[in-house]
Amino acid sequence: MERLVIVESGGDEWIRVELRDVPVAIANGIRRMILREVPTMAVEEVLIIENSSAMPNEILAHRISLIPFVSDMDNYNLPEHCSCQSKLGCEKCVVRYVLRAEAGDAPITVYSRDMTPENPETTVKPVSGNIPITMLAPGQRIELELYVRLGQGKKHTKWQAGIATLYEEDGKNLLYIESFGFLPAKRMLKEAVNILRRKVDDMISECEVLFADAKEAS
Amino acid sequence: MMFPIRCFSCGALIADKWEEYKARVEAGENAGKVLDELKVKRYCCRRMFISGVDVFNEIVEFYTRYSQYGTG
Repeated sequence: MERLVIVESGGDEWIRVELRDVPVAIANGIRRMILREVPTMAVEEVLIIENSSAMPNEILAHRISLIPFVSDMDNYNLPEHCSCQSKLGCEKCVVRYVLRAEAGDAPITVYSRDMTPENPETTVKPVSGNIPITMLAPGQRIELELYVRLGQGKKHTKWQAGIATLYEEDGKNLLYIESFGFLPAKRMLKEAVNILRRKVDDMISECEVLFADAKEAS
Repeated sequence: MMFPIRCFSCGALIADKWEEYKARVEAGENAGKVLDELKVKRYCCRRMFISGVDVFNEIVEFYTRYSQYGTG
């Protein structure tokens, strides 16, 4: 019998899954993996070359960091696990973007679509191009370099992959998963289950080491 | 300041829907109906829209006039 059955689906945006014969503790584990562990991509570092706008550097950087990016977790590594171990990052752990905007005679709004990737073929791009970042009055200018990195929700909520709620209805355990656009909802569930399994595997192997020591001691 | 990028409570992306919401509500449409059509369903996200005020517009307007008079 299948343990996970998709009862309702809104395409890549959300899914409702029925958990059959899954202990609630494990279901809750899956839910928490979605909130804390599923890796996604967002701007982690902002290099401010010029900012003469009315918005302070910190607020500008914070707004940019909250923009979700369509994430490519197959071809990129978490910076802390990347083999390069470099603070600047390598092509396996960072995507570079540039944001340049200047107002002419009239005020302008700077949108997420104005960010240009260093590599035009990258699949890592803002979820929506219609996110207003800031506004510039005539003569004001911003020039920023953005470093998009993979990260996890437990470090900063900007990387939270989506929403997961576990509830009971008519005696059934249901898990509602909604994506913020980083990854398709189904992929989030798959990754969450994989991460949970990896964690359990790690714990089992740790236990084996522990028990081996205990045997030697006795 | 400007309209927030994410909902304060649930973290969902809301900023991409703000300009459409604002234009439609200013044109006289019912705010609740517009939010339904934009698929903003949770009340945490909905309150972000109905209580949203763009103060940054005024700051930019100030700088625009300031630059017109020479110094900026």
